[in-house]
Amino acid sequence: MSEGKRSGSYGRGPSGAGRKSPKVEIGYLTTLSVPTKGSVGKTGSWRTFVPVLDRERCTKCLICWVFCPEASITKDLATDLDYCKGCGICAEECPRGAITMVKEEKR
Amino acid sequence: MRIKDFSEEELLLPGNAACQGCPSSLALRLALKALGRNTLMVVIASCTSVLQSPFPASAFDLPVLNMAFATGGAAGSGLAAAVERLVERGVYGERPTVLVWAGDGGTYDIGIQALSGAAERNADFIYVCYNNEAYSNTGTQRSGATPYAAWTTNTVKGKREWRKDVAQIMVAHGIPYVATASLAYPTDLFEKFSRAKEIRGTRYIEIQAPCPPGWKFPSGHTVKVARLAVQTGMWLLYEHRDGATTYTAGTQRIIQGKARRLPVEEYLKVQGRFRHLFHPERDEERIEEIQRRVDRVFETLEFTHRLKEHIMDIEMLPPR
Amino acid sequence: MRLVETGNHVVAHAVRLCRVEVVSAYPITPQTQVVEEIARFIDEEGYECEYIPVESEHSAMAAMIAAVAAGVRAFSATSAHGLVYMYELLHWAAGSRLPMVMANVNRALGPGWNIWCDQQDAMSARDTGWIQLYCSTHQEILDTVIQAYRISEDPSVFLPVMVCYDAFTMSHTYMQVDVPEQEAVDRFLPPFRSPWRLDPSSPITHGSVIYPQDYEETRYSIYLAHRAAREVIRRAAEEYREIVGNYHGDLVETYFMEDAEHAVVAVGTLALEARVAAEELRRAGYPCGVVRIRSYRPFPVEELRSLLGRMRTVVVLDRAVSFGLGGILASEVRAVLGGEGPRPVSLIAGLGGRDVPYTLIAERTEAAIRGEAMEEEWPTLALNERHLVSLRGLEALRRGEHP
Repeated sequence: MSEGKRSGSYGRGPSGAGRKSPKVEIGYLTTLSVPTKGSVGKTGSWRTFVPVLDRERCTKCLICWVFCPEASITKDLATDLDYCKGCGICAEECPRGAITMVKEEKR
Repeated sequence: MRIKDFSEEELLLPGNAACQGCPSSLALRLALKALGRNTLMVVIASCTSVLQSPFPASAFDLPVLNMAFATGGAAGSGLAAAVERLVERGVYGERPTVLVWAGDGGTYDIGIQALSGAAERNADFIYVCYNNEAYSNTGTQRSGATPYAAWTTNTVKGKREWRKDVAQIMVAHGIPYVATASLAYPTDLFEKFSRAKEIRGTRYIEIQAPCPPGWKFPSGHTVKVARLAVQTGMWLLYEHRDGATTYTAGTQRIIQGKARRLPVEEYLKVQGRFRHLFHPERDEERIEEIQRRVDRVFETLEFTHRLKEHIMDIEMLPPR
Repeated sequence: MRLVETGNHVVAHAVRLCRVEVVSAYPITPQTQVVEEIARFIDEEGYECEYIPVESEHSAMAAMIAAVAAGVRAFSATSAHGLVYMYELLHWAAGSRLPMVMANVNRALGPGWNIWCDQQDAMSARDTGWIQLYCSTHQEILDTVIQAYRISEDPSVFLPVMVCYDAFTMSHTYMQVDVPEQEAVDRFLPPFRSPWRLDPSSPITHGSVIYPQDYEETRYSIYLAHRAAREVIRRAAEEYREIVGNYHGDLVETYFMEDAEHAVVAVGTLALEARVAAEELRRAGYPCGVVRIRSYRPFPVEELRSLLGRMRTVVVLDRAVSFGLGGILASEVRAVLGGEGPRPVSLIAGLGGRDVPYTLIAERTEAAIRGEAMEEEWPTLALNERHLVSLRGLEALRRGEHP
């Protein structure tokens, strides 16, 4: 029957060509999502206060790294400002008081 | 295990839809560091359904099946059964860990039947309840895990009932591993997940998850509130295996007399959800009631500890 | 291999032949023997399968969804209250586009408790996205379960399939069946290749939040899959006939329709009863045929139009009701005909396992042929003194007296 054939191209996505462009092909079939850094964009724009690290006082204990809910501090203690939401846990938890939250100028 | 030895691999990717200071994000991040990439995950309707971001992008760098609210134990069972067959067929290099991730609504209330059924069958998965003590995803309504006197949007004068204790209900199921964890004790949490990973059968881990918007405290205080919960005895850290309970980290230090237990007030007063206990005037009666309950639990725990230490070697019973 | 077996045990044979790897089910009368037999195959006959004795039907369906999501072939069986308890997850299964097969023994819903035949359970779940196939013999049950996996796993379908058959008249009666050779089934049904699966080496997230700008397309895709399924069902029936040897029709099966002027439309064992009625009517001089709907979803739109459009009389038998409208099947047949051909007469009969004898079907069909039937009839209705207790209560309420 003709209507069955017509619809075939939509249903066939994931078994073959789907792997190459999952967003279009598989996503059309059902709600499949692919791992993405910045899945809702650059969440750094949510921030009001930005963490500033005083490297003099820092002992590299990694408390800030382990407690960052956003995985935005690296083990080398660099902050990824694209994604840091500015929650302030790092500043609150730093045992040396080496991180301060500073009001960020609107960019 | 030291913090600096934790894996650098991030399986919950940054730039997701979680709130600032989200306890579920932090719990996921730490738990997944311990479990690693070879994990199949079920996420039950909860804040975690949302924080992973909408279609077609996902913050999870893991295979994830989002499922309906009441299905945690059942979906975990189905996944574990399939894994059993696929391992037999040699599909995986190494047997993957099945992880079910649910909130307290999905665990204490709507999902307890499926969880209990799965535990009785000793289905092979780790079940995590990240307990933010309310239906946070729908705007903070009371759950079976909401503590006495806490404000929620449907207990505006404070909850009248005491919370139930699902971790103890899971102990009663006789499953191979039950543990409670706190975000403020990351090595303790990490070690519990690492131990659970090595065990087969149903493993239950409950993480207290202080929620900034739901509990009404600043987003930077998530870990601080979690720590106060343990320091005041409002949240107990332990693990239960082979029929015995071992108290760990901050809770152990209090029981052993190595740390002073703080008054519950220290924990209550930093959270807006308990503000009515202090403003406009102090509600001495309810604060004392909460304190008395905690005191009774610790009297038993400390007594049992001393008994164990000095008199005879007996099995410690979980406190009621 | 030729067996004399119950309808329920026949399902277990089909499941094993399909090399199903995970079965999750919860007991409910009259489905229990399906899973009992599967469990026995596993324990006593070396059938390699994980059987999950879940604690509810809601969990049965959840476990099945997760198992298929991991990439194995899965099965469940249920009935009536079990099916409606699963309702949320019936939607989830179809929306996930995961192929799976479930047997549903058509049984009445309470209150009061009634374990007998009635199609209200499955027909209430018609809009979940599941394909629904209805059987009328034991051999057809066996063959349809095998065909169902083939249909479900077809790349243009990827939808779950429900195989339905009547409580007791089919589930518990013994009939002769030919069990096909494993080799033939393997040729007809290749190993399951999942459309997508949970795999640590290629992580993908299924079923997260989806916004209005994307949601509708996923449902449109289910709509298209159902349209494609019509051709797939026909092809499966044909290839099954070639490879295994049995044929029970595709979307419909017809009896005496070649020269018929009057037709009875029915589902399941009622259609077999109607066939006897048609033979009676033919002896009385009425050229009557029967259309048995085998695929209820997707609905056999083209078939019914071409078969019924030229009839002088159409009678539709319903063992289910859409309260506030009428016979479910009758309403749908009317909608499909859209005013073409005769106005179908709707007979709602046999609810809760009440017997619908062929003599009654013949009598009401003859009345319809003569233009003496009402548009809607409940011909097996028999109000008796036992019902008067509640009627008296209602009367008292109407009078304002509280009984």
